Amino acid sequence: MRGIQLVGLLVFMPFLANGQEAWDHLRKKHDKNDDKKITTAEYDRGEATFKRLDTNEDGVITADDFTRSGRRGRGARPRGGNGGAGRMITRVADADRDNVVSAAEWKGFLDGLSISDGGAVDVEAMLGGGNGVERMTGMLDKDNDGTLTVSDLKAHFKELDKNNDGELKGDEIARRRRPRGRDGAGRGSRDGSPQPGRPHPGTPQPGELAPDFNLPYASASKKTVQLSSFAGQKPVALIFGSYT
Amino acid sequence: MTNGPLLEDPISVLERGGVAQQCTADLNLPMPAILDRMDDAVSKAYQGHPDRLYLVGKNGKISYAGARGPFGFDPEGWSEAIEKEVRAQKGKHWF
Repeated sequence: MRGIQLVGLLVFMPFLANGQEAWDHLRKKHDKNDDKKITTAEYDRGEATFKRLDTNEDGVITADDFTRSGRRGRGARPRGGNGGAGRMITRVADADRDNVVSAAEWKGFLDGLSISDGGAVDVEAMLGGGNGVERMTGMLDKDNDGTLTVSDLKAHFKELDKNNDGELKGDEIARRRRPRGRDGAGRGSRDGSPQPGRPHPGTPQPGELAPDFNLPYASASKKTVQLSSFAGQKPVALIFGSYT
Repeated sequence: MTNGPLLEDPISVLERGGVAQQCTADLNLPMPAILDRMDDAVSKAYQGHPDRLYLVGKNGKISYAGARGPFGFDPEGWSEAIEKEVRAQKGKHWF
């Protein structure tokens, strides 16, 4: 085999998990007076993490923060009002990408869904494959039964359609971002982010010098890797990822 | 799920490294994992959270910049960019 032509690096950023097991673990670890709630005085792993775990933002960490019905903050509803569900529905139903989900588009979308005998929508098919099945299901599962059904989708549509005209447009939905073009310029995926010519401020763009870094390996070794050391030698594939 | 660091943000590089090693082992990842600083400086520089793909060309410049995951995570596009970059290395073979 010839020499390796590419270096792959996984840049690791831990992420939080949640659920009943999560609450059980946290309670055993931090609920010092066993009153089934963890206060800031009992929690010794930093304010930022405390706030992230306190998903219903009531100032204490309890089992409610780990159940979908209990969450009233970050986990339960989309932030900024309609943003989450509206954006999701626009993404999958706005066929002509004009930021309006017309009555015809909505009907076409519903008619085109693949539905199991039990009534569950095939979310992966709906998304056209790829990532996001769990997130989409979680965000649009209106009756919290663990599956996405046509009833859930219709309930969301009805909620979003404030003027009840059978269409979603303007303030009723968040503006959909258009995908960037191909050619290595970050084609993005089905959600079409970010907008062409207006990427997120600070995001490195094709053609720009890659922000350099010198970071340690995750192994016990004390060795570090300097990105710029590969310049002139070989390309570097970077995967930014998190793990729960 | 019952492992502490998997639940709460690691509060030290050592702890973060432990989680990263567990991730690498659990997923049997063939590539090396490196750790961002505790201030997430590199992740912020690349807007990498929660997941994102990049390719840095041999010239040290960004060759491919994927959109932010999960919806923007596009392994196929990234893979195409990698193949194109490697094919561009004249006289070399892709694996």
